[in-house]
Amino acid sequence: MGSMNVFVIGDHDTTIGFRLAGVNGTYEAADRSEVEEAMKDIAVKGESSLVIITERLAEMVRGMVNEIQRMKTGEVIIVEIPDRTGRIEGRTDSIRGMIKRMVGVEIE
Amino acid sequence: MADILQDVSPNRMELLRINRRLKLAEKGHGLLKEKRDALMSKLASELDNLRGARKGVDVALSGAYRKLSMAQAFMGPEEVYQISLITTRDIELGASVTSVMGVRVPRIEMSNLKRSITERGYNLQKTSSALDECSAAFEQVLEMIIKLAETEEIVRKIVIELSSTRRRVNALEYNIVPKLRATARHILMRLDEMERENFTRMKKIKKLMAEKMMKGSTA
Repeated sequence: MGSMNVFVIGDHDTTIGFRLAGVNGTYEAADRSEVEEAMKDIAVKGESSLVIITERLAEMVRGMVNEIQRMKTGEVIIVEIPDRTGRIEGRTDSIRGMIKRMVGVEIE
Repeated sequence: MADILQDVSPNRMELLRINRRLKLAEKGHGLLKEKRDALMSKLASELDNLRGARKGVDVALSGAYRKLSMAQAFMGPEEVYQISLITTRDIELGASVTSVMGVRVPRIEMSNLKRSITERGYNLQKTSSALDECSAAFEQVLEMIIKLAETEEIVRKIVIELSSTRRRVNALEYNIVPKLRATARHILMRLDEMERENFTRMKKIKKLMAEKMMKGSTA
């Protein structure tokens, strides 16, 4: 059994909230390059990690996120959460998209 | 009609071999189909879990954001920000792998992440109780998110396995099995054909020999 670290990539308020909950690996990001920077920083740590990221920021690096989520090893787990403005309306989330594409079943 | 396998010489040995392969392929097809159906129903139940977990996180998180706004309103955003810099700790989760129907899925074990107000390390006299509520809400939501992450990962792994199982089932069903069947049929036909050829050849020879005998006896 290995250990796993928790990281948060979010906007200003989201990172404050999770720091109050005790998470010390937080990255405040507002644009694509900052998100990429944070992801790289987490990646070079080279441990298995759980990355909590807001949907809006994840959208900016969608390709990168999808690639990591489809790896078979599962060293890095990414979970997307809404930011304080809520979920992005009308977006197919990554799991639903994956099921539709790979299994051919549409789920509500 | 399906194509036949290339480079197969039509003889009985080959026919036996093809039939053996056909039997194996059909057995494998049945097993894979069972696996596919089992994965399908597992996926359905995990999707139920996922829906619940996601809903829970959404609700709890929007509550936590609201409590953060309250704390910021009472104490000022800058103060809340400063305090958030000292309330962190190392959060270590245990990560292991278990197997769900032969699919390796991660398990995340966590110790209790909720803290009492004195454990967070800020001065209680100088802070509002709204901050305590906000911190508690985020601690709770953090636990829920970790659970959600695990469920999402299980679903992803099942989907990946399911899609490769489906591919293999389809390959057997629409390609390999029909091909083997067609090849077996082809060999059988050739063997029959050869038998008939042989039969006529025999008759011809018999006739020739009979003629020869006749000639011999008259001579």
